[in-house]
Amino acid sequence: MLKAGLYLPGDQSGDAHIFTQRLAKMAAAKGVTFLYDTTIKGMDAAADEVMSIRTSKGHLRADAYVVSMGSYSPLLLRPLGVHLPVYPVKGYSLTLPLTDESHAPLSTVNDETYKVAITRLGSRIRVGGTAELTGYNLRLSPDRRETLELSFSELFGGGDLSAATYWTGLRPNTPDGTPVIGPVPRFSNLWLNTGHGTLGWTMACGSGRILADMIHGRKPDIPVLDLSISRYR
Amino acid sequence: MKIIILGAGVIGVTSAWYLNSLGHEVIVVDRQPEPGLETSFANAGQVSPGYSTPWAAPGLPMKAIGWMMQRHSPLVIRKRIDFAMFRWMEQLLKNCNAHAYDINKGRMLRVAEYSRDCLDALREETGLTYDDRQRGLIQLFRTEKQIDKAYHDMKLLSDSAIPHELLNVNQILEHEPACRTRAGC
Repeated sequence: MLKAGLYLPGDQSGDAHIFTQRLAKMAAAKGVTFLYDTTIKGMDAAADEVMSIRTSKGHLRADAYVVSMGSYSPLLLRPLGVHLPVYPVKGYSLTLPLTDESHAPLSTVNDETYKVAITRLGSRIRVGGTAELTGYNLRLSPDRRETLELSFSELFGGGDLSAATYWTGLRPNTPDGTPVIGPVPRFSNLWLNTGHGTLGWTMACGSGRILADMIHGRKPDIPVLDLSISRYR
Repeated sequence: MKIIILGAGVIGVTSAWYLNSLGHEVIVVDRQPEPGLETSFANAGQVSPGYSTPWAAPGLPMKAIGWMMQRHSPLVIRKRIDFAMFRWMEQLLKNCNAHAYDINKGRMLRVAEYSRDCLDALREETGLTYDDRQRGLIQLFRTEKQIDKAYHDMKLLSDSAIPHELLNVNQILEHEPACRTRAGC
């Protein structure tokens, strides 16, 4: 039996993938270049600045570089002698087609018992959660699916579990929960925007904006000094 | 300035958007054929400043041990030798005290609240839609113990001036009429 709920009226919901795709399209229309199918292999650096990045399509050079590679960020930075404490915490989700609106959630809930989130996304229902410390593997564990199905079917209906898409992704978690946004002290042109853990979608716009302000040399709207990698020293 | 962004997930793309709007030349590089195909692809879909809480909390080590015994545990640690993982867990444990928790929670809330405001402004400015809704979030409790913990969280939410309300079962149904309030524990 449910006993109570904690309502947070200021929270919102939405599909991060659709958001990212549409924002990328709008950015491209404004002149941003996107190089896809281009694997990043490493960075070439002098003592105090990054000179270029090595990719599957050759070297790329710029005045400044931003690392926003989620869980893969520390792997790229390690050869430069930069230790970024980000470790992948694997999460899973199910996306169900909506079959009956009258049994489905209207907004988003967190099932505290299983730490599972159930969210209405247009004509779909997203059920996400669980945390696995298992390195960088992206295998889809059948046990985790069972937990997601259990939480959903105990609380709601109106979605077709048999037609669900099962997915996994690696959250880039820091040990202190806070993302790492800002400059890397030793390199004058290297910036980080990563380590957002479970909250990359929640924090994306604000993180992008304060990082842009910092690179531009403009004072961000909120304090940022304690968000940089320097807090770990 | 010419700026290369490594990674076209939600973080790389928002970074690109704001750098471009400040007049910079931006190039985004990604191994995938499209943006947002890795961790940004199918997350839980919540934009949740109110739920922005560090895992590293005073009670976490004991809770983690309890979870290990559960079949449907929220946390699973696969036995493996991985020094990066050990080092990360050691740092996480060092943050499991009240002092560190409050500092970390404050930083996270600051970024998350600001970010929600930036998202609102971006929607307003561009008319962007993404199967989005602005109807709040409800954390559902099935045990008295969960409610006890919620009172502590409510104090932190009050300290940060984040609107919140404890709902009884009937009030939950006003927001989520389809919710099965007889769900088992």
